[in-house]
Amino acid sequence: MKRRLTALALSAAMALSLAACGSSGNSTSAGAPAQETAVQEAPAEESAGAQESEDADPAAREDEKWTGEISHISMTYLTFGQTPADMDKVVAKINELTIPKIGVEIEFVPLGIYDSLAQYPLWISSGENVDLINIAFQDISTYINQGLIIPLNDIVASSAPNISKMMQEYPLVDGSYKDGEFYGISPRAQTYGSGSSIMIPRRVLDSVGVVPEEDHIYSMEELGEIFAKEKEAFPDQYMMDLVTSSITGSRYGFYNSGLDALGTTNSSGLLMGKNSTEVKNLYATEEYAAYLNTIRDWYQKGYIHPDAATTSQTGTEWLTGGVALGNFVGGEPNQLYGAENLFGEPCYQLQTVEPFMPAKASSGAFWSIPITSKDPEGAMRFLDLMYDDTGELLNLILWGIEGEHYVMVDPAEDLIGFPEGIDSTTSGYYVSFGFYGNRAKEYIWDMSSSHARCQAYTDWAMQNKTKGYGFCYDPSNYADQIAAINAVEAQYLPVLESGSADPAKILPEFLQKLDAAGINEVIADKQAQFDEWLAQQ
Amino acid sequence: MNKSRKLRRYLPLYLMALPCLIYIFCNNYLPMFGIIIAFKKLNFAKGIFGSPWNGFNNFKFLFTTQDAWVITRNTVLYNVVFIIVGMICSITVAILLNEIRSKTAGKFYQSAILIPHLMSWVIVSYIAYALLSNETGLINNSILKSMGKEVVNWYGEKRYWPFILVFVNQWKGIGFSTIVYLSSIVGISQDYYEAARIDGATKWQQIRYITLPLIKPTVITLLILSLGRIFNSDFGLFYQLPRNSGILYDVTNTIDVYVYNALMNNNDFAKSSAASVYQAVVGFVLVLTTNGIIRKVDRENALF
Repeated sequence: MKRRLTALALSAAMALSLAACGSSGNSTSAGAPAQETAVQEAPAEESAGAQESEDADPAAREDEKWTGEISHISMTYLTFGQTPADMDKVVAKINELTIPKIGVEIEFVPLGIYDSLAQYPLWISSGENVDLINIAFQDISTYINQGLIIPLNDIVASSAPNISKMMQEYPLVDGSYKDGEFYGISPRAQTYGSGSSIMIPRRVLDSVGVVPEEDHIYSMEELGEIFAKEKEAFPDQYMMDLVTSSITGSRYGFYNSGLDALGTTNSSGLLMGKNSTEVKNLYATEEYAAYLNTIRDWYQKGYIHPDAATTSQTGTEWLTGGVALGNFVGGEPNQLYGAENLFGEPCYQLQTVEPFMPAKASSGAFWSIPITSKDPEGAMRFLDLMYDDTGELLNLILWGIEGEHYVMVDPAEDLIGFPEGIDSTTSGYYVSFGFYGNRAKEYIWDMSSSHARCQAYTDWAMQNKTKGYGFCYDPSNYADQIAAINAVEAQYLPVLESGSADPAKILPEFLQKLDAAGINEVIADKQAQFDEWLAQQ
Repeated sequence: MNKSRKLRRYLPLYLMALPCLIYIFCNNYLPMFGIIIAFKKLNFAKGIFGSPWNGFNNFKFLFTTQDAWVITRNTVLYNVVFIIVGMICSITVAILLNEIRSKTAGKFYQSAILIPHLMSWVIVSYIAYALLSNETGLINNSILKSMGKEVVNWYGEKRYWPFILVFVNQWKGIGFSTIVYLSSIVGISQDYYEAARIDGATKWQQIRYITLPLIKPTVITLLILSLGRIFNSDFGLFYQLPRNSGILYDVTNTIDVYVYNALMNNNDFAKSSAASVYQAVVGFVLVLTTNGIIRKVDRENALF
């Protein structure tokens, strides 16, 4: 009798839970079409407005007042972990601009950049309402394949005139396509091309008598010689900010030019060298083994921090704390300013890789609209304003309020500086992530990143296009193998790439596990797709 | 008639159990519908029920490498070792504590042993890091170096970790199980010991023939309880303590850590659910098996 009662209770409970699930399932599926119709209706009004404004002259457009309903949009605001004190002030200022102009009231959702990786999918899957997210330093294809973000073709065509225009000229949406639709919009970069460099404080190199040559490409041997001199003069410090505890890809590209993973990552193979058409397994090459030996040697000589593979600190913390003396970054000239800020002193930039143009030219950071957004059209209006010719909104988001967070030094060059008595540590608004819109209109802090120098860098890279330039590999048939390969990489790369274990012992084990995970099948598939594309060219 | 009277008689008891039943239902039964995710090609735009079925494809990722075998082996073997070592250590300590005559000293030792149990794993992991790290670690810098020995890269060498994990787990967990044993030892009537002493039994004989037999029921209950959790691992121990160092995965990766990493690294809900379902199914089978064995050996003490 007791048993029967329990059974009854259990089956009742099951039925209840099923009913609950069923209804929640219904409500989501019912919610989606409603959202779509809202999207479809809204552009009808909007496109009428857009047409009028296109006909009118720019001055009239400036005075144009938003007459429709005000959209309340929330946008992720990526930080290094600390929310700037004056964020609300800046948001209020932004709203003064955007509410009358495009009818958008914005709200920032501050989020540490390292948290964004795990937070977005959780937000979206739990139905939290965020309208505009910035997918940076992570793979947008996961979001596309799992249906976490919406396709943007129609919405851009209907309500984003600035983006539509800029897309024709610059690769804003490359790398976010699936089935002919794009899902993300990257910023218009200041520079295009891929390179790397190491930043070292001038004080350090001057004291050991090294005079860096501009535009010289430093090889690993040359770097090793410089590090040796540095180590002698600064025995308690380390020569680079190398932290491998959470790396998911190889850092081989920091020392070697022309590596092209054809729009994806090294885990599915890559071209090595700008004239190569052979997709290779990086980890199985002799060059990689030699690179690991050099890294191991650097580790043993004390150029690399002994806890690089296990620490929970970041390279940035080591730089600001004076633990590390070298900062590996991209090769762009505008990197120098950020590095000097980290070190708090003037630096030299030593190029380690000749800039080149790989298959995937967009910056890798994408603005996307999650499926949970209630007003995708309003979100797009706001995003579009970041890409306009004035750079007004963009600089407001990026640098804050003029006179309070920065002052204009040279309007002709867009050069700005800190107001009297304020620096990067005391400023109430200083987060230098350049993710926002038309970056060619960004104000600059330093002549080393002038618009002219950025252009020169892009031109240099354009001379070195890889054979894969313009191609993008579709990994969807091998997603399981790639996930397994990624897991193996996450397991072995931290120790291998920090030099904290002997590669002679660990590398064979690593290669064997990669084989077991199916790396050769994936590479064959990539090669086949690439050959087919090459034949069509 | 009979039935309804019975129901009325037991109704207060059922009512008293109700909050607990609701809790168990919400906490343990409701989430089970998530098992569906493991068999779906999940697409959030379509919702969980709208997503297409994916058969066993999500499980493939687990079995393409040897991961499934490694994490299963680690989870089970570590738990077996923890159970055996834990039982021996805590019974020994409980008996020793019981023999301390000074009340203040007894209280002091008991609290001292219990304190690690109250610490969070994050703190424990940093204590371990302070001892083991390469740059500033106490063992490498103050002990091994001053003895003129080669320093050890603790977070890069697999062979030390089975011992480190067992040791730290005991250090942290022993206080709690000791208290459980101690309470049942204290409950043993002093008459037995007095009678034994009059008959000239030594201390060892008292322990062997009085204490141990009388705490046997407690031992068996705790044993079965921990066997039921043999397929769960302490996430904090296996994730925080080795600092998620990949090279150690062969000896530190357990199912819980694996599910966590799969979710965090790949953001793939379907695959992590698949790993989680695997844990549930194999765990279920293991519990049934252990219970079956216990029932064969000692019917009275089986759970069901």
